[in-house]
Order: sequence, then C-alpha cells, then structure tokens
Amino acid sequence: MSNADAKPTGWRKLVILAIEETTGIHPRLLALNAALAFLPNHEAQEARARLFSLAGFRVGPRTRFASSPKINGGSKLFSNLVIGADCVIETDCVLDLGERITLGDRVTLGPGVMILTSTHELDIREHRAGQVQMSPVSIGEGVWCGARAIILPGVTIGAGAVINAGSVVNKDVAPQTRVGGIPAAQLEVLNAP
Amino acid sequence: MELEPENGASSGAGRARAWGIRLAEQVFSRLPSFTVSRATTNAMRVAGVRIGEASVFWGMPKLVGSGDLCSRLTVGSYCGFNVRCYFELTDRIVIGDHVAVGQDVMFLTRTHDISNPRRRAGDVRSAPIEIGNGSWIGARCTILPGVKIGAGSVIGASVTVAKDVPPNTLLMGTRSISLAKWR
Repeated sequence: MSNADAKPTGWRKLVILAIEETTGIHPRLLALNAALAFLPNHEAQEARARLFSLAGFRVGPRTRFASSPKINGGSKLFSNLVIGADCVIETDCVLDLGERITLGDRVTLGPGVMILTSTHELDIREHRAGQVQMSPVSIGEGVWCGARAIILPGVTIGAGAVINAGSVVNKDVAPQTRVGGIPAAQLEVLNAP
Repeated sequence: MELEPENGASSGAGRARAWGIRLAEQVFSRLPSFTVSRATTNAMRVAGVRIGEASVFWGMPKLVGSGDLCSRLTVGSYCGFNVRCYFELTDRIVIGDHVAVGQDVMFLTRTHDISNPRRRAGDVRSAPIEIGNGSWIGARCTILPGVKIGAGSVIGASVTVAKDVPPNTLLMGTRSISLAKWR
C-alpha cells in the first residue's frame, strides 16, 4: 500500500496505482521463467543456473539449481541476489528479494527453503502488521539448510552451520553449529575444519 | 456459526461463481506476484467472495472446495494477503479487518473422524475458522479447522495452529507470549 501522507486524488492516484500494480513485472525474469517452464526439475541444473546469471543474477560457477526458485522483489531484484560457487539450490525454494540475499560458496538449500527479507513492524493491537521493514540475509560458506527451513529477515548464518529441516531461524547463527526448532536454538557444536 | 453445507451446491448461481473463481485462478496465478493485485482482488469480488474495502490479495490465492465455495469466504477491510495463500472452503472462513497474512499460509476447514482403525482418515468433518481484527499471521502457517484467532494476535512463521488463540497473544513455535501490555 502507498504510504503517502496526503491522499493523492484523480490522475495522480491512477499513476501511483499503475506503478504499484506493475512493480512486480520484470521482463527478464518473465522471459527466464518462460524459457525454463518446460524443463523438468533436477534436469540441466548447471545450465539452469547459467541462465539465471545470464538474466542478471550474480550466480557463481558450478552452482546448480534443481528447479527455478520462486522469486519476488522490487526494482533492485537482480542486484539483490548474490550466490557463490559450487552451491546447490534444491526444488521449490522461495527467495524474497526486497533486500540483499547473499549465499557464500558451497551452500546447499534443501527443498522448499524460504528466505525472507521483508517483515512488518509490530504495531498497535488494531493493526499488528505495521510498516514494512526490509533487512538483508547473509548465509556463510558451506552452510546446509534443511528442507522447508525458513530464514527470517536480518539473519546472518555463520560458515559451516547446519539448519535443521522445518526450523525457523529468527536470529544470527554461530559458525560451525547445528540449530533447529521454532524458533531455531543451538543443538550442538560441530567439529571445526 | 450456522452451517449451510449443501445449500450452495444446489444453487446454480453459486456453482457459476465457483467456476468463475476457478477461471480467475487459471488467469491470475500465471501472472507474476505483486502485479495487478487490485484486479485479482476485484476478480475475486466478482466471483462472489465478500471482501471489504482496501483489502488486497498480492497474489492469486488457491480456493478449494465444492459447490458455492466463494460465499463461504468473508474478508474484512484493510487486509493484506501475501502470495500463494490456500483456502479450503468446506466450511466458513471469516477474516476480520486489518489482518495481514504471510506467504504460503493454509486455512483448512476439512478434517476427518479418526475412530475407525482400518481407515484413520474416516468421515469428513468440517469446522469454521475465524481470524480476529488486527491479527498478523506469519509465513507458512497452517490454520486447522475450528480455530478462532483472537483480535490483535500475532502468529510467527511456520506455526500449525490447532487450538484457539486468545486475543493479543504472540505465538512462536510452541511458546505463547501475551502482548496485552504491548500497545
């Protein structure tokens, strides 16, 4: 919703509406999804990642995409995703690119992992979801996120951490640890390299 | 809340509206998310879903059910629904005003009787869902049949809500924290 203080009227309102209604359209992303629409999951994984980097995302070499992640975001969508080398992105991941998402090298995102960068401020009881807040997410080298884990906005995950399947990560994760649960808590310290 | 289980199934207009929403789903779910969301919402209004003023569905939700499913969903005003929501409309779903719903949230109104050991998913049971004014439901929550969420409650991401939530409560995993003192 527009957060203009003075309510615009007439054609100004129409223009604002038209802009708001079309911010989700990214021709390159549409072309990319159309090109990959009939490619089965788990096929041509490196080629899929290469097509993503051709479209404008920064995707490192030898990274593999098992299926096209569901991507949404505003105007800076293409510069907001940075993926390192040798990563594996499994099927049905959701990447919310309102802010920067950084994946280090050798990261594995399991099936259905959701990385969110936008949330709301906790507001008055009549309207709990207040102003939209964006904050970036950064995932360190060698991290493994289990299936259907959710990474909430503003989280930094240290190198070599393991995120259990189905957990919700709402605060930073120390390197070389294993976390799990809702909200994710540290379960064990893993052996350092 | 009184039920109207088979009324809708017999009415021709209700069935036509149900096919209308299926057609709208086919069209609008193919568009990218966060585009033409007002048109999406208006298409749902045309199909018979009661949606209050200034409520927006940022992406086309999935509406599932038999018969006149559109009339079983009621949405208040100033609500926001993120993409890929899922409404199973075997029973009523009533959503209040100023409600915010995250991505991938499921509202389920259909469950089964489990008394038969040979088939645990036995006879279908259904119960309505009510979401109170001003509440906020996080991403990937599942709201199970018969649940009432009180006004001003906040449900964290990925929570399965199986029982009623009192007003002004924050649910995160299995923990619940009172927000009564928070504004």
